[in-house]
Amino acid sequence: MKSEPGQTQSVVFVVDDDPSVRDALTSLMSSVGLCVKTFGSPSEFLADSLPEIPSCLVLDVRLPGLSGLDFQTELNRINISMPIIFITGHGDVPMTVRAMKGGAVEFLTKPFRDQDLLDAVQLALDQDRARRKIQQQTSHLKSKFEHLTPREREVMSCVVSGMMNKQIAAHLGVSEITVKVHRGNIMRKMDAGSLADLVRMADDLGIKVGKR
Amino acid sequence: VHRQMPTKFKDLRTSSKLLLLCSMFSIAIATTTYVLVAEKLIAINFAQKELAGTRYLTTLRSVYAAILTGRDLPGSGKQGGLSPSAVLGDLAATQSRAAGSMDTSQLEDSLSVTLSELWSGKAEAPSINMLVPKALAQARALISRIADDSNLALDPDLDTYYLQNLAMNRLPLLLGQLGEVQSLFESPAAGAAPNTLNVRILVLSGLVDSTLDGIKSDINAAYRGNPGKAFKAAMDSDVSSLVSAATSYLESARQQLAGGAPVSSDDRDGSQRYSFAVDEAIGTWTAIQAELDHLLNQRISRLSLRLWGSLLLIAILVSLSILTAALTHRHITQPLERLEAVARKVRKRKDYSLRAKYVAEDEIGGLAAAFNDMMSELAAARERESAEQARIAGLQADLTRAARLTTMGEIAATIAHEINQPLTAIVTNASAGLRWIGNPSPNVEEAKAALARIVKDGHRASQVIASIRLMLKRNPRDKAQIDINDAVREVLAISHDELQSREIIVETALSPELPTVMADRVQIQQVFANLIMNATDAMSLIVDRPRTLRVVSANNDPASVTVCVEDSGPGIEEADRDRIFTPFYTTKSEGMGLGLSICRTIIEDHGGRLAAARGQAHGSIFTVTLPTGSAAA
Repeated sequence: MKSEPGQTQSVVFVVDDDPSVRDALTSLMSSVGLCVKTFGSPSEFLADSLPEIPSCLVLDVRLPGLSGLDFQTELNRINISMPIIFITGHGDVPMTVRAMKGGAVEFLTKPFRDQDLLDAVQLALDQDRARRKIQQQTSHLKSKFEHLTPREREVMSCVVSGMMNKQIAAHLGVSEITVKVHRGNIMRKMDAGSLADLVRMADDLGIKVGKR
Repeated sequence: VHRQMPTKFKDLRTSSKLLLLCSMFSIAIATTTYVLVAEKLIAINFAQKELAGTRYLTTLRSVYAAILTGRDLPGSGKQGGLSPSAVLGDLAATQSRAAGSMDTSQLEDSLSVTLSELWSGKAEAPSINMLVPKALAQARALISRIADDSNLALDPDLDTYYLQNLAMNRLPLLLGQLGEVQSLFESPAAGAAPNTLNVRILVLSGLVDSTLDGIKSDINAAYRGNPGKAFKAAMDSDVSSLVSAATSYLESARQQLAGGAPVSSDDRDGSQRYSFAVDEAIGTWTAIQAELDHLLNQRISRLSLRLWGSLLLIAILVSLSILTAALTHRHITQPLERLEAVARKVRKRKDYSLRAKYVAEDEIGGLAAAFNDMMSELAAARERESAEQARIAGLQADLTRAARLTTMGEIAATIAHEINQPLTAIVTNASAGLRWIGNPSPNVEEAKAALARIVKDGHRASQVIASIRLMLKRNPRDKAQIDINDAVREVLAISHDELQSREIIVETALSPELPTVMADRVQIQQVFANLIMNATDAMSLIVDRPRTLRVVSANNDPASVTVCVEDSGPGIEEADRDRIFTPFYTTKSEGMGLGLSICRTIIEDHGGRLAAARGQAHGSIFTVTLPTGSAAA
């Protein structure tokens, strides 16, 4: 049993056209405390609003209308980056390769071992959680960066590229005192404890180095 | 009504329209002809009436001759054969002839009375002197009436008008005047003073002069109206001799008066000149009348010639118009009707090779040509269409056949999916149930629900299998007498591409004298297709010898037909020989293990057998045995 407390803060989506399979999957995942939401077709899934919590998708390859693999492509296209676990009655090598290339977490053949599925779901949820965390941090950093004045941003790009205050003052045509004031503001606004912190933040934000 | 008329006319058949046109044209021609003929006939009648007038004149001329030259007729009868009774009889006969057309009877009667009195011989000299002028006046009045009633006075031509004026007016006047002058000489009125007589003679001679002038001017006018030389030649001598005779008579009469000699009846010379002048006048009169008759007859013949000519022209025109209408009918209506008939025939028989047979440079010919072109286009289009349809039909037949033969694989895939789904559900539910019970706080309700779903899905799986069985049990009505060789050939033909791509050599030995078999063609072909595909798969790894597929049909036993499918693959392991027909047993990496099982079911359903054996050198032989028509169930 890998059931952990706090699992309700995530959701597993299931898309399979067979109601028996949907019911069985719901029961299995509920038994380990996972929150499950099932759909009979891709369009039903897309019609539903997606919550902003860690989630993954258990997707049948053989679906009415759009195949599971095509649906994966479609999701990538519309920028829904949710980890996918494929389940299929009859999987061959090319199909598996394509699914994995498309970013699938796992490719399971029906009937599958329950532990295999639950492990895959766990892995997928962890992946999504991590992804969301990074995303959140980046956006937080971004909002802080947005509070800098254009001049401060200029100074910051110079600082993280390793320039001395004197060099920066000469480069921007201002006094060294002014550079020092900007630097203090930057460190305060970005909530950076050290120069190394600031450099890492700049790296996360993808700020290009302000060398001439 | 105004609106209906055009549509009605439009709806008439073209032949009726032509008939209408033709009849209207005929009516117009008939009317014109009637007017023309009537006009000509009026002119002819006019001239004929004039002729009747001149005929009357002939009689009156003899009357004049009798009065003026034979006043002593009864006695001597010196004027040849002219007897008073003959002259009177002639007059009466002429009058009776003209009675219908001219109103002359009264004038004639009074003239006859005067003449009878004159020639009775009883009359005395003084009364004769009175009677002669009276008769002359009456004769002139009669002539004048004749001129009016016989239309002579209304003559339309210049020459004939002046001639009739001479004949009906001037010459009678001249003769009357001459007669009066002579009578004054011959028997002067009793008791008349010589001076009075002389004056009278002088006045009269002056009148004669003026009459002669009138005659001259008339004849000149007539010449103007008729420039023909013969006419002038015929007239000229007569008129000039008349003028000279009358002038010489007047000369002698004047000389007599100037000489102071008393008027005497014995004057031989004077009376001689007188009778010469009268003879000349009568002669001229006769000549003029002859010329007048001649001209009138000429006019009549000319008119009738013109009449007949016009009638002939009209007849020709009418026949030409009828001919044109007939030709129009023939060249418009008939081709159109034929075109219509062809179009109708095409519509009825759907025979697009029919053509309109009409060749001409006109619009109808163009229409017929366009019609024929259109028919050719239609025929070509239909040909293309039917070719296309045949192609599509053939394609569809091929597809259907191919689909039927591939159904086996499809069925297998479907079966796999249909059974795999409940199986997945069963396995998953079982796992879930175990977890619900095995949890630190077991949830029996959830476990029970999972078990209930397992039961349901188990039933569902068995239903799938039952429906497969049902599907394989075919309707016996689909069975028919089929030629096994044909069925085999068809399967080989459809598999040809696949066999070729796998580099397989196909050999057939199909017995030509195979009896037919009562079977479901599609199912039997599915079996053959399956056996052939199995053989092909079995040979896929063979590289050291030819991949040979051999299909043999035979009829060794009269009650059955056998078909062997042999391959040069690895062959069947002895242990596998019976198990290969078991459902879901397979030696292939990708296979359901259903093919041979279903094949055997099908063959047994047909009352036959499906057996497998090892080949002599290598490979395997699958033998299908089917009972012949007579032995089939």
